[in-house]
Amino acid sequence: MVQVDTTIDHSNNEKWVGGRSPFNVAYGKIMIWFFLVSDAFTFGAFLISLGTKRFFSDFWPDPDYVFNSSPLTGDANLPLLFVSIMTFILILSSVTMVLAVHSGRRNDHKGVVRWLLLTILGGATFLSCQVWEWVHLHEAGAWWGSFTNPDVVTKESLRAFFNPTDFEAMTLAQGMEAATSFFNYFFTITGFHGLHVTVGMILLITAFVNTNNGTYARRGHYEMVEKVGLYWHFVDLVWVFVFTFYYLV
Amino acid sequence: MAHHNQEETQLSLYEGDQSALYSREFNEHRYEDVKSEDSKKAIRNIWKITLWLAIITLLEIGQGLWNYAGSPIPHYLSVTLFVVMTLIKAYLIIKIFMHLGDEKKPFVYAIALPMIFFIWFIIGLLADGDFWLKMNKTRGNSLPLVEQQDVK
Repeated sequence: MVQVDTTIDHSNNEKWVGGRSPFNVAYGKIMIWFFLVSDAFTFGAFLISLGTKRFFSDFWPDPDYVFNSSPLTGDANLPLLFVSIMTFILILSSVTMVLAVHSGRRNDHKGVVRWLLLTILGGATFLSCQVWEWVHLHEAGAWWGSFTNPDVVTKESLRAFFNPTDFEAMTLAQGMEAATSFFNYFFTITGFHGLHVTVGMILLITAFVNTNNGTYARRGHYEMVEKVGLYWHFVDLVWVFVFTFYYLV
Repeated sequence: MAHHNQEETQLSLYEGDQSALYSREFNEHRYEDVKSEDSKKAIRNIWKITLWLAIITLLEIGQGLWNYAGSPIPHYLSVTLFVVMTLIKAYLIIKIFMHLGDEKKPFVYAIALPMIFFIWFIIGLLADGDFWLKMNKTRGNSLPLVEQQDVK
């Protein structure tokens, strides 16, 4: 049993004199929130630096032309379709996560197991989609540092990434610089996001195993599910911004 | 007497296991049945927010496809609309899905207020990119600036 310091006057109900958290939140939950704030600044730095580079460029690849393919559709021109599906998958996995947290707060063991499992499935589907997209772009010649060698890159090889008006107006040097920046940022930002999704998957699977083993039921609370949930919602939140600033604007 | 014992428990938990205090003892839904009316109402609210997120996402996709087909709205207006829709989605996810709306106000401010740094961060760095483009095109202001036509 932990020793209680009885010298503190707990009859005083003032919130800031000690004896209770003025936030009414457990330490671990406060800390995951502060971690997410710092992570928001990391992702913010990536996205704002992307914006700076874009404001620095007269031409920029058009996402409607870059991202126009889906699995099993061959050469059909389907702008935004696949990434929209990915976005909906991640939003739905966020919904199943919030339902797992909802069940956890009410000590509904079965509900937590069911919704966590669905969240893990959603995360795995999203990651698979991202792998497909990376492989597809890599086959189209895009990677970190592609389009930097003027002896190899022809203007024709950049046609697929730009809208036709821009493509006619730009010089080869402008096209190379824009395409290089676009894909460097694309693989860095979606890669860093994908890393977060992967870490989230590990956390989710851990929480799922612990729930199944009854660890949280014995503890009497499902705070760990809430903390993993906060992280998972943050991953979804970042995707909302990546979706806008990479695929739409 | 029972009340006093409860306070004793809470006090020892504060010194020892905070999670047990705030996530178990102070958890207002602890004894709520997941099939109760209150719980079902909260679940309905989650699905309502899901519907809103889906609608806004569909609007974003719709506008993206409209831009692709050649919409007449100017680029800056299209960007503003995208940003507004994105911020609404972010607000809904943070407030409802991350339950920040249920926390005490000082905690909400502790999380939300640091985000105001982004305002200057965005203005400063985008203006910097714009400035360097101008310097690049005018060879450091020694040539007249020829504006690139806004093609999008």
